[in-house]
Amino acid sequence: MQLPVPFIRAIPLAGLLLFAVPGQTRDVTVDLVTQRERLEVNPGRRDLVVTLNGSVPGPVLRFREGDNVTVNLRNDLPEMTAIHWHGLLVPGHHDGAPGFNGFPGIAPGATYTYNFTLRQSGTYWYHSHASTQEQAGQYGALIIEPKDGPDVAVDREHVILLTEHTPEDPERIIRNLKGDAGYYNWNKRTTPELLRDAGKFGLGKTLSDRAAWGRMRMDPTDIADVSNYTLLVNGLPTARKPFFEMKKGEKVRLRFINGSAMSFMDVRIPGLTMTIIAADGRAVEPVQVDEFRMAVAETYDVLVEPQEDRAYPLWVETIDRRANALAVMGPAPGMPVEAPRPRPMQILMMGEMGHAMGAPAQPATSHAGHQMAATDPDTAILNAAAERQPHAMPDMAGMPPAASSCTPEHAAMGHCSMPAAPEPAPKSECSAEHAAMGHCKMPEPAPPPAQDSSCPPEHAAMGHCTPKPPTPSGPDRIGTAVPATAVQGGTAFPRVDYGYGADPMAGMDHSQMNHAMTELAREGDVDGSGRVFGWATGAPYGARVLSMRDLVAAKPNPDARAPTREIVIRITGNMERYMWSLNGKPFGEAPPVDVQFGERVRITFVNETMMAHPMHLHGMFFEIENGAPADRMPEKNVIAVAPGRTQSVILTANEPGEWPLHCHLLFHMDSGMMKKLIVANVGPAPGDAPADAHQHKAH
Amino acid sequence: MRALLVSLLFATAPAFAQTVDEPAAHLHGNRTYSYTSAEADYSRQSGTDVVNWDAEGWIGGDNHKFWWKTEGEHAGSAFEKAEVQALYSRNVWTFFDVQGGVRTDIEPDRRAYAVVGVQGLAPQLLETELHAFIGFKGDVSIRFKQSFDLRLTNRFVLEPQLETDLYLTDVPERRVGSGFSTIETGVQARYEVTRKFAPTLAVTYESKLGETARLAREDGEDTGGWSVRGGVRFWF
Repeated sequence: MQLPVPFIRAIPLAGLLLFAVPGQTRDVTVDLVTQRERLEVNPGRRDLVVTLNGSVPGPVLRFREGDNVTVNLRNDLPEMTAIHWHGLLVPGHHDGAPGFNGFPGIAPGATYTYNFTLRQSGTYWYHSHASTQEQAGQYGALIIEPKDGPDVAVDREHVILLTEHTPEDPERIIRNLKGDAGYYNWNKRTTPELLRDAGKFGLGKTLSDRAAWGRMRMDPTDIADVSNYTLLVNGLPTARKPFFEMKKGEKVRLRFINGSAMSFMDVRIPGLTMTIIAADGRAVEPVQVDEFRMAVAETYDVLVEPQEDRAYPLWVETIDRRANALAVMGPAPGMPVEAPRPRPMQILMMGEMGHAMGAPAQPATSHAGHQMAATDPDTAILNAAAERQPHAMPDMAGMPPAASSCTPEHAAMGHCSMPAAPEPAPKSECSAEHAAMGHCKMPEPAPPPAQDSSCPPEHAAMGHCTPKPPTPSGPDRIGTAVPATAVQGGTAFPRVDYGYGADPMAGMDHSQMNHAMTELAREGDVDGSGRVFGWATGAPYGARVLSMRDLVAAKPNPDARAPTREIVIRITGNMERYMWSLNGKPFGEAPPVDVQFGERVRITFVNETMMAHPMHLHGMFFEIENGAPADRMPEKNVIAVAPGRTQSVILTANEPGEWPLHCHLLFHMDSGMMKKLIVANVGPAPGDAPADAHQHKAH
Repeated sequence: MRALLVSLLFATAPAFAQTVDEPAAHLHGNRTYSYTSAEADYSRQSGTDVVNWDAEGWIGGDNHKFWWKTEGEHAGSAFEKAEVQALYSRNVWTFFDVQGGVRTDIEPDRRAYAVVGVQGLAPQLLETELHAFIGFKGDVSIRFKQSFDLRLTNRFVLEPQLETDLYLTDVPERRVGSGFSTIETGVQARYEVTRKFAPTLAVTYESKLGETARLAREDGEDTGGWSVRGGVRFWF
């Protein structure tokens, strides 16, 4: 047994691979051994983990586009294993998902040889797709350089693989969750908090808020399922002082990977502008941000150019704020950096739980006006939903006058601008955390274009206003998730629109939207105990924060056809029993989704749960319908769908095989939140007629 | 009859247990888990040392489970009450299971019942159980249990509890009259040292009711009253 091998030691292995001549096809062989052993991850204690070549994480695998890759994986675990090449376009039986494409997994003691030719470049990763081995450490970064050399000239490059570690056996974690779904939540609301809320919001309003949550039998503090995590940066906790060398004046590429089991993370480097240049391995038009939120399993390539001769903190926080990591980026290790204060915890709102409140079950999507083939029953439902708008507005006596582009309901929820409410002049040096404590006034944001702030995407989709189209290119594109101070009308924190789906309630029958009336406060307000209302909060006013809407493909996609049909995937579950499913059925009980080879389909995710789910498709990229032009929608393999939201993607089904489509929160997947998507070269030729959804059930 | 029930219990348990240890063969859903919780407390009532226990557990998947339950009371040097239930539990509504099976009593006298009922989480997060017991000797009763958690902190929890038995028949051998026969209610405080282990301190009112109380008084017996009970609860 040995100490965890720092990530950097894996580089010599990978470094050898880089000396070959660019542009030439190479045969590259990698040998991996996986086993269970004790490692000292946190100083002073040795925990049982699953290693690859003796370390957590496994070695950084560096390849070049066009390489013919052979990976020999020897399984020294006492159980079946399988490594999945996350985001890679590979033949189905080399994708590494047991039970798919006839791949049975790798038996204990056996060696399996993966073989594939790389048809892409970018930042990816690899991890176990069997049992609960990934949670225990079986993961690593996988970097593919373009065949003609680096796509961006940089002085330095770092891979930053963010993961979590817990001393607990993952099998025990899921047993604990099955026994008590709130097992890891030590931040439940208490009676003293009820009294504080009563003092702030009034007893009647507070009691009716508690009663509403009680009726739903849900917990507004259920932001993340598992705690006791230590965040790791390339396998190192903060205590081991992860360090990334970076000098003044250099252009540095950071390849961020969220390889965690369960943690969405907010990433920032206070003092540095980060320019996002790729998402999930695919190049995007550069976007400048101060911070970005990483869904589980996403990767982002970021450029930074430090202008000062000093160390910068790399600060990573999980969105439940229960774990964080601090790394030093600078000219030399050991230089002092100051960690920002952790942000306040969040408290969910009922508005995020539209479906739980007896709202219409049919989703309205951001593209409801599109012409879609009427043969699919799901499509028919969507069209019907679209025809129901516009709708009558309920009596909103007492509400302040709202802009014509903004329904009162949305104004009430802080979704859009309220020009009548002027803002105090804020001080820019005040962090939002301090502002929330009343220590100072709020910082001044750069005022965004008026159109942008008055028109959230939900409304734009409904034709209520004209959205500002994402700028396809240009040097000054910035993250737009935080629109403006004015939009919020005075909440302590802005509502951050991460672009994780649209509000399906927008444009629905608002008479059923009674939760808007019982909401204790607005999104971005602070409750009596310092928690911030709303899942999508945390970033301060004026911050440049990445939204999915800011992602625009750097190059036009070859296939910009309109989709021929729509497949609706409802994200379903029962938190109380820790049951997770898609379309109400756990994996194994659900029929597969069949797609004709070559077909272009829309997949619409409707999140009916109170958690955000990072939905991942193997084998192919899908394009995010984020408002970008049809040929410039960003390609990704993971899309986060926020609680109660709806998000669609477009898929060109050009990789035949059986592909897992699942939530990448690993304990959700383990509980059944997965589906099989089959791309088969049978049935009518693509474009002739939409294939019937259940035609190939016999597969 | 009892031998039959006990052997049924033991025959079923290993069958389930086998699948528990099966190494993740059924990946991603439909796996078998198990849960066991137990609670015991001590009190001194009318000069007698009294120990109460209440344990239950399940083995199974999300929708189908085998549940077992046992509860009872030991007072002085004898068991006053002791019962065991073995139930099949089926998740029918989001928050509720329908259960059916058998209950066998060892004390105060040996008898068995068919059981049918529901168990789950009612609105306002009320843990709720409602079971009907149809005795093979002809007695029929209904038991209702409810409790909820009031958190003073995330570890210190007050749990108001209520349990009552309603008899639809007289049971002369047990000196039980039809109607509500017993009530047990109070507040249990617990401190969750871990999620799985908590010492408890409860103030409980336990009393016979109605005709059953009248029969007890006739026999010169105590009908019950307030007690302070200290104990532990744990689960795994």
